[in-house]
Amino acid sequence: MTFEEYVRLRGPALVRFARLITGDDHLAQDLCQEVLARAFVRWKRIRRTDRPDVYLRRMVVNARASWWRRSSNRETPTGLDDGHPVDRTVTGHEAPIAERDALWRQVRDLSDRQRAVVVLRYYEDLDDATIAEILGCSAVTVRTHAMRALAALRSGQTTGSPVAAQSRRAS
Amino acid sequence: MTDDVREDIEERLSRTLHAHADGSAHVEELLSAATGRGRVLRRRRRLGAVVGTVAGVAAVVVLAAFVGLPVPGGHGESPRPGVAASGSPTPDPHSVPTPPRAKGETTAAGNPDVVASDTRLFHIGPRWTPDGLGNSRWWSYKADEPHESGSEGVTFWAPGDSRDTPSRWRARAEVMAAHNTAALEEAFNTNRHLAGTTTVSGRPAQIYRASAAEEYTNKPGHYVRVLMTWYVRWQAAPGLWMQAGATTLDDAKHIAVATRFDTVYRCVTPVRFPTAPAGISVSICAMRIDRAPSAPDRLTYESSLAFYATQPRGTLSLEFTATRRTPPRGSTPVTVQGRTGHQVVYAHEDGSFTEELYVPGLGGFGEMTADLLKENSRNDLLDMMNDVRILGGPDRITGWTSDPLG
Repeated sequence: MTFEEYVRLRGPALVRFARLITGDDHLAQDLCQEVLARAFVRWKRIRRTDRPDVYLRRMVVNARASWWRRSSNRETPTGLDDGHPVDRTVTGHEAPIAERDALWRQVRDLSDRQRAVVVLRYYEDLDDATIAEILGCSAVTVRTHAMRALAALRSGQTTGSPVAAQSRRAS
Repeated sequence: MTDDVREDIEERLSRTLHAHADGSAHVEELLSAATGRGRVLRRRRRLGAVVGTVAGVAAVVVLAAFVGLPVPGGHGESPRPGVAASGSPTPDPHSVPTPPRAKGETTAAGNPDVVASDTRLFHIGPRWTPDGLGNSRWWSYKADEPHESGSEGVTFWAPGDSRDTPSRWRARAEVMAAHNTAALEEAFNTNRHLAGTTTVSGRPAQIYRASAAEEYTNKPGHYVRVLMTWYVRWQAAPGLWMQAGATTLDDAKHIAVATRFDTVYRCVTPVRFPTAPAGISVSICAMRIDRAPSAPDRLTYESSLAFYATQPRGTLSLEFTATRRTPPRGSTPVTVQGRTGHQVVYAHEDGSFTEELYVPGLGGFGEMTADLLKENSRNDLLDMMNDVRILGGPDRITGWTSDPLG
């Protein structure tokens, strides 16, 4: 598979993955562009690997961790958390959407590692061994991150979600 | 509490993530940007302008380490090599180290068209760098594709900053020359913006702030590190665009003002091909000059070359280093000029082949690596390197040449 074929076939999935990892659409696009540019340089090696998807996701996770350490990227991504108050009294057909938004805000509140595990496990449907390969840790560590992430999400869910999450971020 | 909330957290999590992952991806734009940026990265890697490269990366360079080239007087003075008791030039630890001078050549001040026209020559002369940036890499690139533009430049960094651990880099500086601004764009990452204007020797100049992403690998994985750099860009003469960069704006301005165009330097290499393959030409020549961290008066020089062939299309790289790198897995033992090394051949789906050689101790160097990519035929790198003449070792710079194909 050529680099162009790979990007056309798997590029959208990589952007979606980066969007979940970063929680920010623009940053996700920038990250993917940078990661793919570096993949372009070494494509002849990457395509020899059994799973270029795993390789690229590993690059995204690591690049995201590095970018986050930059002061210029430490602003809270805009979007749902745009500073506007959240309506506590969502009812009817909008309620499931509000709950999803609340859960999404909690996901974004997770640590980088926990969020990466959650995205790789519940969005990418990867097994713990593959997640461990991407994150450069053991499968046991992956399970620990997953367990703690789920506990945090369950805990957050029982405390009234949207406002609670917003309050935690503000504190 | 809704029915959704009562569902298992994992199911809701999956649904939530899928809902928030949706959005436009603009694949063609992403592909265009990634390949464009990738070509810049690849070229910069070939140029050796990026200091931190990952072991195993196919750099298209010839590197060689040796001691004792002429060093300029520095700080606004004309280059003036000193002579030690041993007969070797003595470097001034406070000057900007340069390659050897090329006397009698047309300078960029005399004719700006000479910039990036001959890979054997460097036409720009920075006379000042921030304190501590004693290492440098000089490069001259002659475009080998119609849509590309040639350029020349010098990058400076601090002695002791490991080539393989960018996380320890403290600062860098650079100056670059080209015939148009598009070629200067190679210095930028995707994140850059116009930050103001200034003047350089009375000429109007733009100020840019850019984030230069570098990559490195350690045990856990592959990382991208970002260094913020200030750039000053100005037109030094009709057809000659310049760009100076540094960690601080003041340093970038100082480098710009102190850059001269009245001296020409030679790019020399320790190899010569007795029989040059047809259609092959030098597209990049570069030299690296390092100060030893423990002995600033001792210089280590490296010379870089990249060859380009049009028929069949391909690139050839050679690298002579003081240190050894681990050969990739799957390599085969081979003998090159009496030295035992390793060979790896990759067959690509498009019919092309990449052949790599790793030979320690060749010509007295720590290691030689070579990388040849050629279309439509099996490479002959092993035969080529068995025939190539090594003109001198690290301590025999006088035998090196500016014309490896001559």
